[in-house]
Amino acid sequence: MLKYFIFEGGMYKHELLLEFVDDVGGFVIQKTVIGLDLIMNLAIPEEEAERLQELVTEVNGKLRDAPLIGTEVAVVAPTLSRHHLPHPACDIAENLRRHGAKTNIMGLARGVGQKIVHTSIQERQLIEEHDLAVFTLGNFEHCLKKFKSKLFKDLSIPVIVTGGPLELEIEGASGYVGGIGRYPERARTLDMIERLRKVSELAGKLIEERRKEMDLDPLIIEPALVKTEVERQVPEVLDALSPNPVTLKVDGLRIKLPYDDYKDRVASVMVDGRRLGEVSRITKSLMRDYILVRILPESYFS
Amino acid sequence: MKMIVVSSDSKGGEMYRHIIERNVEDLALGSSVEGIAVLIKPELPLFVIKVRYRERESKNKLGELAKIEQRSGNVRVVLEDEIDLGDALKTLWSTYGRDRVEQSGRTEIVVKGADPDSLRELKIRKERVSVSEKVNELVNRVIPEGLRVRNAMKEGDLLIVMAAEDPIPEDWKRMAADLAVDT
Repeated sequence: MLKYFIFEGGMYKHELLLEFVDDVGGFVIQKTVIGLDLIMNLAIPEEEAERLQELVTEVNGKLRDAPLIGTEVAVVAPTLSRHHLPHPACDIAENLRRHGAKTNIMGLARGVGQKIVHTSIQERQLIEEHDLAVFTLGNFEHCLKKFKSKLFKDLSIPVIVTGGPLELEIEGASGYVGGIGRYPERARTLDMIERLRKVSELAGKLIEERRKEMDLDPLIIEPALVKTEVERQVPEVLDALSPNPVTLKVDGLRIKLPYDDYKDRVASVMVDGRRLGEVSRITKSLMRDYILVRILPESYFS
Repeated sequence: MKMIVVSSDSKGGEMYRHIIERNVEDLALGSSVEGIAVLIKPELPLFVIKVRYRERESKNKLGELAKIEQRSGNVRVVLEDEIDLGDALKTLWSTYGRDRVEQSGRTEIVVKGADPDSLRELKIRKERVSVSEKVNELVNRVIPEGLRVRNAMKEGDLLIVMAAEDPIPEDWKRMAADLAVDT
Protein backbone atom coordinates (compact mmCIF):
# COMPACT_ATOMS: atom_id res chain seq x y z
CA MET A 1 0.00 0.00 0.00
CA LEU A 2 1.21 3.49 -0.80
CA LYS A 3 1.72 6.02 1.95
CA TYR A 4 1.35 9.73 1.28
CA PHE A 5 3.58 12.56 2.50
CA ILE A 6 4.07 16.28 2.05
CA PHE A 7 7.73 17.27 1.78
CA GLU A 8 8.68 20.86 2.57
CA GLY A 9 12.24 21.98 2.04
CA GLY A 10 14.65 23.64 -0.32
CA MET A 11 15.64 22.95 -3.92
CA TYR A 12 19.14 21.95 -2.75
CA LYS A 13 19.76 18.22 -3.35
CA HIS A 14 16.10 17.55 -3.99
CA GLU A 15 17.11 15.38 -6.95
CA LEU A 16 18.16 12.81 -4.36
CA LEU A 17 14.59 12.60 -3.20
CA LEU A 18 13.25 12.33 -6.75
CA GLU A 19 15.67 9.51 -7.47
CA PHE A 20 14.72 7.71 -4.27
CA VAL A 21 10.99 8.00 -5.01
CA ASP A 22 11.58 6.67 -8.51
CA ASP A 23 13.78 3.80 -7.31
CA VAL A 24 11.28 2.52 -4.74
CA GLY A 25 8.38 2.72 -7.20
CA GLY A 26 6.75 5.80 -5.69
CA PHE A 27 5.26 8.87 -7.33
CA VAL A 28 5.67 12.63 -7.16
CA ILE A 29 2.04 13.71 -7.30
CA GLN A 30 2.55 17.44 -7.20
CA LYS A 31 5.65 19.60 -7.16
CA THR A 32 5.44 23.30 -6.33
CA VAL A 33 8.48 25.57 -6.43
CA ILE A 34 8.16 28.92 -4.66
CA GLY A 35 11.42 30.83 -5.01
CA LEU A 36 13.99 28.56 -3.40
CA ASP A 37 11.39 26.58 -1.48
CA LEU A 38 9.96 23.33 -2.64
CA ILE A 39 6.76 21.57 -1.65
CA MET A 40 6.17 18.07 -2.98
CA ASN A 41 3.29 15.67 -2.53
CA LEU A 42 4.76 12.20 -2.54
CA ALA A 43 3.42 8.67 -2.57
CA ILE A 44 5.78 5.82 -1.70
CA PRO A 45 5.35 2.19 -0.60
CA GLU A 46 4.62 2.04 3.13
CA GLU A 47 7.76 0.01 3.96
CA GLU A 48 10.06 2.71 2.51
CA ALA A 49 8.75 5.48 4.79
CA GLU A 50 11.62 5.19 7.27
CA ARG A 51 14.28 5.47 4.58
CA LEU A 52 12.50 8.48 3.10
CA GLN A 53 12.49 10.15 6.51
CA GLU A 54 16.27 9.60 6.82
CA LEU A 55 16.84 11.14 3.41
CA VAL A 56 14.63 14.13 4.20
CA THR A 57 16.58 14.74 7.43
CA GLU A 58 19.78 14.61 5.38
CA VAL A 59 18.55 17.39 3.03
CA ASN A 60 17.23 19.45 5.99
CA GLY A 61 13.62 19.21 4.93
CA LYS A 62 10.38 18.42 6.72
CA LEU A 63 8.10 15.51 6.08
CA ARG A 64 4.55 15.11 7.30
CA ASP A 65 1.91 12.44 6.85
CA ALA A 66 -0.84 13.54 4.49
CA PRO A 67 -3.32 10.75 3.87
CA LEU A 68 -5.54 13.19 1.99
CA ILE A 69 -3.13 13.44 -0.92
CA GLY A 70 -4.69 11.83 -3.96
CA THR A 71 -8.24 12.45 -2.78
CA GLU A 72 -10.97 14.72 -4.00
CA VAL A 73 -13.25 16.02 -1.25
CA ALA A 74 -16.62 17.76 -1.67
CA VAL A 75 -17.41 20.47 0.86
CA VAL A 76 -21.17 20.80 0.75
CA ALA A 77 -23.03 23.83 2.09
CA PRO A 78 -26.83 23.80 2.54
CA THR A 79 -27.23 26.61 -0.03
CA LEU A 80 -25.09 29.07 -1.92
CA SER A 81 -26.43 32.06 0.01
CA ARG A 82 -24.40 34.26 2.33
CA HIS A 83 -25.94 32.48 5.31
CA HIS A 84 -23.78 29.46 4.62
CA LEU A 85 -20.93 30.77 2.51
CA PRO A 86 -18.14 31.70 2.44
CA HIS A 87 -16.79 31.27 5.94
CA PRO A 88 -17.43 27.74 7.26
CA ALA A 89 -17.19 26.03 3.86
CA CYS A 90 -14.12 27.92 2.68
CA ASP A 91 -12.27 27.56 5.99
CA ILE A 92 -12.85 23.82 6.03
CA ALA A 93 -11.86 23.49 2.37
CA GLU A 94 -8.68 25.50 2.92
CA ASN A 95 -7.66 23.33 5.86
CA LEU A 96 -8.33 20.15 3.87
CA ARG A 97 -6.14 21.49 1.06
CA ARG A 98 -3.33 22.15 3.56
CA HIS A 99 -3.52 18.45 4.38
CA GLY A 100 -3.17 17.49 0.72
CA ALA A 101 -6.77 17.09 -0.49
CA LYS A 102 -8.20 18.58 -3.66
CA THR A 103 -11.50 20.21 -2.68
CA ASN A 104 -14.63 21.30 -4.50
CA ILE A 105 -17.24 23.48 -2.77
CA MET A 106 -20.87 22.81 -3.58
CA GLY A 107 -24.09 24.51 -2.55
CA LEU A 108 -27.31 22.51 -2.53
CA ALA A 109 -30.54 23.87 -3.95
CA ARG A 110 -32.65 22.96 -0.90
CA GLY A 111 -30.39 21.96 1.95
CA VAL A 112 -32.18 24.25 4.40
CA GLY A 113 -35.20 24.03 6.70
CA GLN A 114 -36.82 21.05 8.35
CA LYS A 115 -39.51 20.14 5.84
CA ILE A 116 -38.09 21.26 2.51
CA VAL A 117 -34.61 19.89 3.13
CA HIS A 118 -33.55 17.34 0.51
CA THR A 119 -30.97 16.54 -2.16
CA SER A 120 -31.83 15.80 -5.76
CA ILE A 121 -30.55 12.70 -7.60
CA GLN A 122 -28.20 14.88 -9.62
CA GLU A 123 -26.77 16.50 -6.51
CA ARG A 124 -26.22 13.10 -4.92
CA GLN A 125 -24.49 11.78 -8.05
CA LEU A 126 -22.25 14.84 -8.16
CA ILE A 127 -21.29 14.41 -4.50
CA GLU A 128 -20.62 10.70 -5.08
CA GLU A 129 -18.07 11.58 -7.75
CA HIS A 130 -15.85 12.55 -4.80
CA ASP A 131 -13.97 10.34 -2.35
CA LEU A 132 -15.44 11.98 0.73
CA ALA A 133 -17.98 14.70 1.52
CA VAL A 134 -18.02 17.25 4.33
CA PHE A 135 -21.46 18.75 5.03
CA THR A 136 -21.28 22.13 6.77
CA LEU A 137 -24.54 22.41 8.67
CA GLY A 138 -26.07 24.81 11.17
CA ASN A 139 -26.27 25.54 14.86
CA PHE A 140 -29.32 23.74 16.25
CA GLU A 141 -29.11 20.23 17.67
CA HIS A 142 -32.81 19.53 17.05
CA CYS A 143 -32.50 20.35 13.32
CA LEU A 144 -29.30 18.40 12.81
CA LYS A 145 -30.47 15.29 14.63
CA LYS A 146 -33.99 15.01 13.30
CA PHE A 147 -34.00 16.47 9.82
CA LYS A 148 -30.60 16.78 8.19
CA SER A 149 -29.54 13.17 7.87
CA LYS A 150 -31.74 12.79 4.78
CA LEU A 151 -29.17 14.95 2.98
CA PHE A 152 -26.46 12.32 3.18
CA LYS A 153 -27.71 8.99 4.56
CA ASP A 154 -28.04 7.41 1.08
CA LEU A 155 -24.61 8.46 -0.12
CA SER A 156 -22.15 5.68 -0.89
CA ILE A 157 -19.06 7.67 0.16
CA PRO A 158 -17.94 8.54 3.71
CA VAL A 159 -19.55 11.72 5.07
CA ILE A 160 -18.33 14.08 7.78
CA VAL A 161 -20.85 16.51 9.24
CA THR A 162 -19.92 19.76 10.96
CA GLY A 163 -22.34 21.73 13.10
CA GLY A 164 -22.78 23.97 16.11
CA PRO A 165 -23.40 21.46 18.96
CA LEU A 166 -20.12 20.22 20.40
CA GLU A 167 -21.10 16.55 20.60
CA LEU A 168 -23.68 14.78 18.47
CA GLU A 169 -24.54 11.36 17.13
CA ILE A 170 -25.93 11.84 13.67
CA GLU A 171 -27.50 9.08 11.61
CA GLY A 172 -25.90 8.35 8.27
CA ALA A 173 -22.66 10.24 8.90
CA SER A 174 -19.27 8.59 9.32
CA GLY A 175 -18.18 11.30 11.73
CA TYR A 176 -19.20 14.57 13.34
CA VAL A 177 -17.11 17.60 14.32
CA GLY A 178 -18.82 20.11 16.59
CA GLY A 179 -18.28 23.80 17.22
CA ILE A 180 -18.27 24.67 13.52
CA GLY A 181 -21.82 25.72 12.81
CA ARG A 182 -22.98 28.75 10.95
CA TYR A 183 -20.55 31.57 11.73
CA PRO A 184 -20.11 34.98 10.15
CA GLU A 185 -16.35 35.54 10.06
CA ARG A 186 -13.07 33.83 9.16
CA ALA A 187 -11.83 31.26 11.64
CA ARG A 188 -8.97 33.09 13.31
CA THR A 189 -8.88 31.84 16.89
CA LEU A 190 -6.72 28.89 17.85
CA ASP A 191 -9.81 27.12 19.09
CA MET A 192 -11.53 27.38 15.69
CA ILE A 193 -8.41 26.41 13.77
CA GLU A 194 -8.07 23.36 16.02
CA ARG A 195 -11.61 22.33 15.07
CA LEU A 196 -10.84 22.71 11.38
CA ARG A 197 -7.76 20.54 11.92
CA LYS A 198 -10.02 17.93 13.55
CA VAL A 199 -12.12 17.80 10.36
CA SER A 200 -9.01 17.20 8.25
CA GLU A 201 -7.71 14.59 10.71
CA LEU A 202 -11.02 12.73 10.66
CA ALA A 203 -11.09 12.93 6.86
CA GLY A 204 -7.58 11.46 6.75
CA LYS A 205 -8.61 8.63 9.06
CA LEU A 206 -11.66 7.77 6.96
CA ILE A 207 -9.65 7.82 3.73
CA GLU A 208 -6.98 5.58 5.25
CA GLU A 209 -9.68 3.13 6.32
CA ARG A 210 -11.04 3.15 2.78
CA ARG A 211 -7.59 2.56 1.33
CA LYS A 212 -7.02 -0.34 3.72
CA GLU A 213 -10.34 -1.87 2.65
CA MET A 214 -9.39 -1.43 -0.98
CA ASP A 215 -6.06 -3.10 -0.28
CA LEU A 216 -7.94 -6.41 0.20
CA ASP A 217 -8.89 -6.19 -3.46
CA PRO A 218 -6.47 -3.66 -4.94
CA LEU A 219 -6.97 -1.71 -8.14
CA ILE A 220 -5.49 -3.31 -11.22
CA ILE A 221 -3.33 -0.20 -11.81
CA GLU A 222 -2.24 2.46 -9.35
CA PRO A 223 -4.10 5.76 -10.13
CA ALA A 224 -0.87 7.76 -9.69
CA LEU A 225 0.72 5.74 -12.51
CA VAL A 226 -2.32 6.37 -14.73
CA LYS A 227 -1.98 10.10 -14.01
CA THR A 228 1.65 10.09 -15.17
CA GLU A 229 0.77 8.19 -18.34
CA VAL A 230 -2.25 10.40 -19.15
CA GLU A 231 -0.08 13.51 -18.79
CA ARG A 232 2.55 11.95 -21.07
CA GLN A 233 0.26 10.52 -23.75
CA VAL A 234 -2.42 13.26 -23.78
CA PRO A 235 -0.21 16.35 -23.34
CA GLU A 236 -3.15 18.73 -24.07
CA VAL A 237 -4.27 18.12 -20.49
CA LEU A 238 -1.29 20.12 -19.26
CA ASP A 239 -2.63 23.16 -21.13
CA ALA A 240 -6.06 22.97 -19.46
CA LEU A 241 -6.69 26.05 -17.36
CA SER A 242 -8.53 24.23 -14.58
CA PRO A 243 -6.60 23.75 -11.34
CA ASN A 244 -5.06 20.27 -11.07
CA PRO A 245 -6.05 19.25 -14.64
CA VAL A 246 -5.53 15.59 -13.74
CA THR A 247 -6.95 15.19 -10.25
CA LEU A 248 -6.15 12.02 -8.40
CA LYS A 249 -8.90 10.17 -6.60
CA VAL A 250 -8.74 7.13 -4.36
CA ASP A 251 -10.05 4.85 -7.09
CA GLY A 252 -9.23 6.76 -10.24
CA LEU A 253 -8.92 10.24 -11.66
CA ARG A 254 -10.79 13.23 -12.94
CA ILE A 255 -9.37 14.53 -16.20
CA LYS A 256 -10.37 18.11 -16.89
CA LEU A 257 -10.80 17.85 -20.66
CA PRO A 258 -14.10 17.78 -22.63
CA TYR A 259 -15.49 14.23 -22.52
CA ASP A 260 -16.81 14.08 -26.09
CA ASP A 261 -13.54 15.27 -27.63
CA TYR A 262 -11.08 13.26 -25.56
CA LYS A 263 -12.80 10.11 -24.26
CA ASP A 264 -11.38 7.90 -27.01
CA ARG A 265 -7.86 9.21 -26.62
CA VAL A 266 -8.02 8.74 -22.86
CA ALA A 267 -9.37 5.20 -23.37
CA SER A 268 -6.44 4.35 -25.64
CA VAL A 269 -3.76 5.51 -23.20
CA MET A 270 -1.43 2.57 -22.57
CA VAL A 271 -0.57 1.90 -18.92
CA ASP A 272 1.63 -1.05 -17.98
CA GLY A 273 0.95 -2.68 -21.34
CA ARG A 274 -2.86 -2.36 -21.02
CA ARG A 275 -5.35 -0.01 -22.67
CA LEU A 276 -6.88 2.29 -20.03
CA GLY A 277 -10.33 1.73 -21.55
CA GLU A 278 -10.03 -1.99 -20.76
CA VAL A 279 -9.06 -1.63 -17.12
CA SER A 280 -11.33 1.24 -16.10
CA ARG A 281 -14.78 2.75 -16.51
CA ILE A 282 -14.58 6.07 -18.32
CA THR A 283 -17.66 8.23 -17.84
CA LYS A 284 -18.78 11.81 -18.26
CA SER A 285 -18.65 13.84 -15.06
CA LEU A 286 -21.60 15.95 -13.95
CA MET A 287 -19.07 18.65 -13.19
CA ARG A 288 -18.78 20.47 -16.51
CA ASP A 289 -17.89 17.90 -19.19
CA TYR A 290 -14.91 16.45 -17.42
CA ILE A 291 -13.81 12.84 -17.81
CA LEU A 292 -14.09 10.50 -14.84
CA VAL A 293 -11.89 7.42 -14.80
CA ARG A 294 -12.68 4.70 -12.26
CA ILE A 295 -10.05 1.98 -12.25
CA LEU A 296 -11.36 -1.55 -11.79
CA PRO A 297 -10.20 -3.84 -8.98
CA GLU A 298 -8.13 -6.98 -9.61
CA SER A 299 -11.05 -9.28 -8.73
CA TYR A 300 -12.89 -7.99 -11.78
CA PHE A 301 -10.40 -9.74 -14.03
CA SER A 302 -9.91 -13.00 -12.13
CA MET B 1 -27.05 48.24 22.15
CA LYS B 2 -28.94 45.78 24.33
CA MET B 3 -29.49 42.26 23.12
CA ILE B 4 -31.68 39.53 24.52
CA VAL B 5 -31.58 36.02 23.06
CA VAL B 6 -34.14 33.54 24.33
CA SER B 7 -33.55 30.10 22.86
CA SER B 8 -34.62 26.59 23.71
CA ASP B 9 -31.19 25.51 22.39
CA SER B 10 -28.80 27.50 24.54
CA LYS B 11 -25.62 26.77 22.53
CA GLY B 12 -27.40 27.59 19.25
CA GLY B 13 -28.77 30.77 20.83
CA GLU B 14 -25.28 31.90 21.82
CA MET B 15 -24.04 31.29 18.27
CA TYR B 16 -26.89 33.42 16.92
CA ARG B 17 -26.00 36.19 19.38
CA HIS B 18 -22.56 36.21 17.80
CA ILE B 19 -24.00 36.20 14.26
CA ILE B 20 -26.20 39.21 15.11
CA GLU B 21 -23.31 41.14 16.72
CA ARG B 22 -21.09 40.61 13.69
CA ASN B 23 -23.80 41.62 11.23
CA VAL B 24 -24.64 44.77 13.20
CA GLU B 25 -20.94 45.60 13.01
CA ASP B 26 -20.72 44.83 9.27
CA LEU B 27 -23.70 47.04 8.48
CA ALA B 28 -22.37 49.81 10.76
CA LEU B 29 -25.68 49.85 12.64
CA GLY B 30 -24.16 50.00 16.14
CA SER B 31 -25.32 53.51 16.89
CA SER B 32 -28.69 53.29 15.13
CA VAL B 33 -29.95 50.10 16.75
CA GLU B 34 -31.04 50.55 20.36
CA GLY B 35 -32.04 47.02 21.19
CA ILE B 36 -32.56 43.58 19.70
CA ALA B 37 -34.57 40.71 21.13
CA VAL B 38 -34.59 37.26 19.61
CA LEU B 39 -36.74 34.24 20.35
CA ILE B 40 -35.59 30.93 18.89
CA LYS B 41 -37.54 27.69 19.05
CA PRO B 42 -36.04 25.20 16.61
CA GLU B 43 -38.52 22.51 17.68
CA LEU B 44 -41.52 24.46 16.27
CA PRO B 45 -39.59 25.88 14.22
CA LEU B 46 -39.95 29.58 14.99
CA PHE B 47 -37.54 32.49 14.87
CA VAL B 48 -38.61 35.93 16.08
CA ILE B 49 -36.42 39.00 15.89
CA LYS B 50 -37.40 42.39 17.23
CA VAL B 51 -35.24 45.40 16.46
CA ARG B 52 -35.72 48.82 18.03
CA TYR B 53 -33.83 51.48 16.09
CA ARG B 54 -33.63 55.20 15.50
CA GLU B 55 -34.57 56.40 12.03
CA ARG B 56 -32.15 59.15 11.16
CA GLU B 57 -32.88 62.55 9.74
CA SER B 58 -31.97 63.19 6.15
CA LYS B 59 -28.53 64.73 6.25
CA ASN B 60 -26.14 64.80 3.37
CA LYS B 61 -23.77 67.68 3.95
CA LEU B 62 -20.58 66.96 5.86
CA GLY B 63 -21.19 70.03 8.02
CA GLU B 64 -24.45 68.49 9.29
CA LEU B 65 -22.93 65.09 9.94
CA ALA B 66 -19.66 65.97 11.61
CA LYS B 67 -17.77 68.43 13.75
CA ILE B 68 -15.28 70.24 11.57
CA GLU B 69 -12.37 72.15 13.05
CA GLN B 70 -9.19 73.63 11.65
CA ARG B 71 -5.86 72.72 13.22
CA SER B 72 -2.57 74.11 11.93
CA GLY B 73 -3.41 74.01 8.23
CA ASN B 74 -5.28 70.71 8.48
CA VAL B 75 -8.97 70.13 8.99
CA ARG B 76 -10.18 67.56 11.48
CA VAL B 77 -13.53 65.96 10.69
CA VAL B 78 -15.20 64.05 13.52
CA LEU B 79 -18.27 62.18 12.33
CA GLU B 80 -21.20 61.78 14.69
CA ASP B 81 -22.04 58.35 13.36
CA GLU B 82 -19.83 55.58 11.99
CA ILE B 83 -22.50 54.79 9.39
CA ASP B 84 -21.36 57.85 7.38
CA LEU B 85 -17.67 56.94 7.39
CA GLY B 86 -17.60 54.99 4.12
CA ASP B 87 -19.42 57.66 2.09
CA ALA B 88 -17.43 60.48 3.70
CA LEU B 89 -14.08 58.86 2.92
CA LYS B 90 -15.12 58.06 -0.65
CA THR B 91 -16.18 61.67 -1.30
CA LEU B 92 -13.12 63.18 0.38
CA TRP B 93 -10.77 60.89 -1.53
CA SER B 94 -12.34 61.79 -4.87
CA THR B 95 -12.36 65.53 -4.01
CA TYR B 96 -8.96 65.97 -2.36
CA GLY B 97 -7.04 62.85 -3.40
CA ARG B 98 -5.80 59.99 -1.25
CA ASP B 99 -2.58 61.79 -0.27
CA ARG B 100 -4.42 64.56 1.52
CA VAL B 101 -7.05 62.50 3.33
CA GLU B 102 -6.15 60.32 6.29
CA GLN B 103 -8.42 58.37 8.61
CA SER B 104 -6.99 58.95 12.06
CA GLY B 105 -9.64 57.24 14.16
CA ARG B 106 -12.81 55.20 13.92
CA THR B 107 -14.90 58.27 13.15
CA GLU B 108 -12.10 60.78 12.63
CA ILE B 109 -10.64 62.01 9.34
CA VAL B 110 -7.90 64.57 8.79
CA VAL B 111 -7.87 66.52 5.49
CA LYS B 112 -4.61 68.31 4.76
CA GLY B 113 -4.75 71.89 3.50
CA ALA B 114 -8.52 72.03 2.96
CA ASP B 115 -10.90 74.93 3.49
CA PRO B 116 -13.27 74.12 6.40
CA ASP B 117 -16.18 76.06 4.87
CA SER B 118 -16.09 74.17 1.59
CA LEU B 119 -15.82 70.93 3.59
CA ARG B 120 -18.97 71.86 5.50
CA GLU B 121 -20.86 72.24 2.20
CA LEU B 122 -19.56 68.99 0.73
CA LYS B 123 -22.35 66.50 -0.01
CA ILE B 124 -21.20 62.97 0.78
CA ARG B 125 -24.04 61.17 -1.00
CA LYS B 126 -26.89 61.80 -3.38
CA GLU B 127 -29.59 60.06 -1.42
CA ARG B 128 -30.18 59.90 2.29
CA VAL B 129 -29.16 56.83 4.28
CA SER B 130 -32.08 54.64 5.12
CA VAL B 131 -31.58 52.92 8.45
CA SER B 132 -34.78 50.91 7.86
CA GLU B 133 -33.27 49.38 4.73
CA LYS B 134 -30.16 48.41 6.62
CA VAL B 135 -32.21 46.97 9.49
CA ASN B 136 -34.19 44.90 6.96
CA GLU B 137 -30.92 43.67 5.53
CA LEU B 138 -29.74 42.76 9.04
CA VAL B 139 -32.91 40.80 9.73
CA ASN B 140 -32.65 38.92 6.42
CA ARG B 141 -29.03 38.06 7.04
CA VAL B 142 -29.78 36.70 10.50
CA ILE B 143 -32.99 34.69 10.03
CA PRO B 144 -32.24 31.04 9.12
CA GLU B 145 -32.75 30.59 5.42
CA GLY B 146 -35.04 27.60 5.72
CA LEU B 147 -37.72 29.58 7.56
CA ARG B 148 -39.47 31.07 4.56
CA VAL B 149 -42.89 31.95 5.96
CA ARG B 150 -42.45 35.46 7.27
CA ASN B 151 -44.64 37.84 9.20
CA ALA B 152 -43.33 41.38 9.57
CA MET B 153 -44.81 44.18 11.64
CA LYS B 154 -43.66 47.72 12.21
CA GLU B 155 -44.75 49.52 15.36
CA GLY B 156 -43.18 52.97 15.39
CA ASP B 157 -39.46 52.44 15.76
CA LEU B 158 -39.84 48.71 16.42
CA LEU B 159 -39.57 46.11 13.68
CA ILE B 160 -40.85 42.62 14.46
CA VAL B 161 -40.19 39.79 12.05
CA MET B 162 -41.38 36.26 12.67
CA ALA B 163 -40.12 33.40 10.53
CA ALA B 164 -41.32 29.81 10.39
CA GLU B 165 -41.76 26.95 7.97
CA ASP B 166 -45.55 26.75 8.35
CA PRO B 167 -48.23 29.45 8.44
CA ILE B 168 -47.83 31.32 11.72
CA PRO B 169 -50.69 30.73 14.21
CA GLU B 170 -52.05 33.43 16.50
CA ASP B 171 -50.54 32.04 19.69
CA TRP B 172 -47.05 32.30 18.18
CA LYS B 173 -47.79 35.92 17.38
CA ARG B 174 -48.76 36.45 21.02
CA MET B 175 -45.54 34.75 22.07
CA ALA B 176 -43.63 37.20 19.87
CA ALA B 177 -45.56 40.14 21.29
CA ASP B 178 -44.62 39.10 24.83
CA LEU B 179 -40.93 39.19 24.00
CA ALA B 180 -39.59 42.39 25.52
CA VAL B 181 -36.88 44.21 23.65
CA ASP B 182 -35.99 46.84 26.26
CA THR B 183 -35.57 44.92 29.51
